[in-house]
Amino acid sequence: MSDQSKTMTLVDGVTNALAWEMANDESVICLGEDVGVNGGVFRATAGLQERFGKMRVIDTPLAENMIAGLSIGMAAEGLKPVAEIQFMGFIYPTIDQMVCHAARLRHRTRGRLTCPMVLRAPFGGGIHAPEHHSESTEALFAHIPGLKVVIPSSPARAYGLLLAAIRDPDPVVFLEPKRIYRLNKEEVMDDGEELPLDVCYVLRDGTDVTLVSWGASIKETLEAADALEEQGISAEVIDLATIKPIDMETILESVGRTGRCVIVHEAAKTCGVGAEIAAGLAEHGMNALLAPLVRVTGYDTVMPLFRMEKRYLPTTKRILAAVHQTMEAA
Amino acid sequence: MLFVVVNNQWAISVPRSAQTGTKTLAQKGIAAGIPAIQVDGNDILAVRWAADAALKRARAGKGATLIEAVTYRLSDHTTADDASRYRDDAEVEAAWKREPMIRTRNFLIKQGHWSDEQEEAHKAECSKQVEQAVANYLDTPVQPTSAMFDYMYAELPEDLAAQRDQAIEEHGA
Repeated sequence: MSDQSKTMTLVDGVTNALAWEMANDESVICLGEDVGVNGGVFRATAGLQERFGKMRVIDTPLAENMIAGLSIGMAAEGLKPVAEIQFMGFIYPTIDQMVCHAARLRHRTRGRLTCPMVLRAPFGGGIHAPEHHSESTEALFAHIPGLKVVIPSSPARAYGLLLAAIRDPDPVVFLEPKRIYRLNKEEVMDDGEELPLDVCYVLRDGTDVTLVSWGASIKETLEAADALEEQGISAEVIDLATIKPIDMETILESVGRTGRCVIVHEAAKTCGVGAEIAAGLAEHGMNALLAPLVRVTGYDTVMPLFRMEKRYLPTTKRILAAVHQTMEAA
Repeated sequence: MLFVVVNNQWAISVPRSAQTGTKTLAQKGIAAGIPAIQVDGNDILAVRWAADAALKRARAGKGATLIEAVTYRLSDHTTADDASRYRDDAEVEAAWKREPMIRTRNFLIKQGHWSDEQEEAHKAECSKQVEQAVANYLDTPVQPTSAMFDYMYAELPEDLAAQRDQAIEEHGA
């Protein structure tokens, strides 16, 4: 495959990254429910089985615990499995395998066995899906020592971060914000260039307040920054991108300049990743904060069904109110 | 306890044969240590017979039974699915010949228990019921914002009550 610029959506970024790496590294295997003949329910693996064959793009039984376990075994023996869990709501059976084995294989064997696998799953709400199809539980995995957690929010970051996740020598949970799977298109160089897994991305420079978000909520956060500009408030927007490890340095540097911070995420508030960022600011950036930070998050409830889901998801209006709150606090 | 496995042959695009190495799903009963039976799930009388026997066993305190009812998913998995991507038309056509409603109707007509007139009347009645159910659904008002919170705990914790008030403030009751 020659290096070329392609117009990609976020899900195209995923597909192209998988195709690139499979073409260039024979140890990369895709597996999951409906990923083969069907190309995945969101078409993330479309065309891969045709191109790379049934030995490398495997339709698995409907058993998530087994998908994770199989991947761990493959990874320990030198393959690089990329497993798809069809929806994040189906990911919970994998937790036993991910926590008890994937996350600690290197540690348990004193480095003799490792687990270079990727567990991919579309996540988040806003697509009118039924129960169990809309959750954002990235914090569950971020809490587990030994796992990395990555969430892209643009086609280019989906492409570059997934390549990095596959090449990473340790297990990575790669969560894809399905609400924005096909929202934006951009030109992405299909050249196999990865992006680092330990930096966040400043999407917009600002001087008055730092907005930190990730996943699909980046959309509303950027919209809020536009609205704030019209109000004369200059908002810096940071896409966290790697949920674990968190690049606190970039956030601290930004808040050091702006003195204010609003954290936006779709997941429930309590023990969400926003709390970890807030703790990091309290530990290392307390003196820079001019006002208390504010979290704009999903509520501590079950994600409601589709007619109610807009009331759950953080809105631009709530982000603006949070910014005004922190601007007026001091 | 009566376990009924509706084996419709497909999990979206993955056929039953790829799901497990056993020849039948009824065999799963062996590992559970309970009797299991495979029936033609498209034969309403066979299913009724198997269920009767299993219920009789259960009610007599003799324990659980597993019934594997073998049928076929004639439609796509969802409105977002396109089954033509992964299965043959010939297979679906063949499955339609075993469609249980048509089979039952033909059987009843042959036995002199059912007629075309009754069929038409029954269909019309069914359509009416479905239309009514759809209308009822469409007329169901969206739940109040507080419904997101009301069923989380027997007693709403204070911090969640504060979140509820915030949600109501933004979206109305």
